[in-house]
Amino acid sequence: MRLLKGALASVALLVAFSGEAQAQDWWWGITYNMSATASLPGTSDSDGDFVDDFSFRGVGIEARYVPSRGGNLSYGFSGSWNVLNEKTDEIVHLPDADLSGTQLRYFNSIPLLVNAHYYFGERGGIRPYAGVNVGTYWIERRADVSIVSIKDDNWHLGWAPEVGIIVPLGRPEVALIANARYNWAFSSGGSGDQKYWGFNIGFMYR
Amino acid sequence: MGQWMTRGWPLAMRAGIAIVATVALGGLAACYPGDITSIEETRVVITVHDQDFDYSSQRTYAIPDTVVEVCDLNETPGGVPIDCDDDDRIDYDHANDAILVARAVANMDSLGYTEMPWDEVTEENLPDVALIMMVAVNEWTAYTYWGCGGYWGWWGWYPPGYGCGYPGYSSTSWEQGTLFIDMLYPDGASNETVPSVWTGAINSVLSNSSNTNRDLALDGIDQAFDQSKDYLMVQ
Repeated sequence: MRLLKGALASVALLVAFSGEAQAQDWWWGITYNMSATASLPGTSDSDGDFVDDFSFRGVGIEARYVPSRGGNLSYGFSGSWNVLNEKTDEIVHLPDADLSGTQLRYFNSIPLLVNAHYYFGERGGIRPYAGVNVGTYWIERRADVSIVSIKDDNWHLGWAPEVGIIVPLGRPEVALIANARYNWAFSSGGSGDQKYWGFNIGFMYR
Repeated sequence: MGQWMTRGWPLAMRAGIAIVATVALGGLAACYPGDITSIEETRVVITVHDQDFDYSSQRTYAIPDTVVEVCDLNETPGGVPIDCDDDDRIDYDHANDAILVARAVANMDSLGYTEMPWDEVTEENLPDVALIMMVAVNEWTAYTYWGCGGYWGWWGWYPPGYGCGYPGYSSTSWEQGTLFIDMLYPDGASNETVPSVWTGAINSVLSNSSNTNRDLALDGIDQAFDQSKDYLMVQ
């Protein structure tokens, strides 16, 4: 919680004072987001294997504030939408009942995160980076069986360590971004920890 | 602020591009992709068992040769579905009774049970368990509101101009059938009530083809016993 408060305070400060700085940069970005829950290591617990299939559905938006142009640090926020789905015939076992049939399972996640990143390399070159995101996740899990639909949705607090790379695309205003995030939303509302990998690629511009 | 305006695109425009592009891409990524593509995929098999019941020590069973149709639920609101006059029962064709019962018998035999002919069952000569098969059919209707079509012209008493074309609902109806297999335990009877120790329910949207519906039911019977064999198997 302390980390979240600190990050929120940082964003509030940079928004408040960013208009006065002279050598600052706001970078905006849009990303195509892919994701996976149980199909990759680290997420194969009982709450992580709700959907096995890799997902190619997702989008994201990024905003990063670089206090000193070409510097090594940025603060920002991101919002994204990941949709994982799967059609499965897996039998559901309950203590005194078993259910079989075609299930359509859906995992919708909308993380709203503030973040801080550290960039390696030099200004104008390829910049690998590492960072951390903290914030909230809205996650809905839904299973359709025959004409019956069962779902739960909750707001979760969570965090996501991230590594990535920024590659200049010839002009100083545009760059390619690619990153991997391990999203970890803590249990909430009777729903256990939700974890999934995110693989994002897109463009940043200023 | 002035610096933001002079360097490349204005800040608001840059943020706007990101938002618009995100929303546009988001439209491609529906919340609930995928769909049920066949009648077979609507079939669900649910089995319920009593965790405290010792299935493995049961040896004999009996099953009547008729599938019982339950009452029309509209005729017995809140009532017991099998306790009604024959006139109030659902309209059910018994043509497949023999083949459905035979499939249940085959599954019980393969689990190690021995069949006792139904006509030999008396109060003094009871099987360890009795199987009853029942069928229920519900009709469902889904409504889709497709709103105000909109057109220009003269319609009824409305003046010329923009009017509402054909607002309203379209509806889709389908029948959903459920075949129940109830395993009763006569020795546990009390107050003229025989407890059920296992139930298999095979539920599916029904096709217009009776052959398809029969095959759905047969496969469902197999599935019900298969997913219960760990505890139903005679030791």
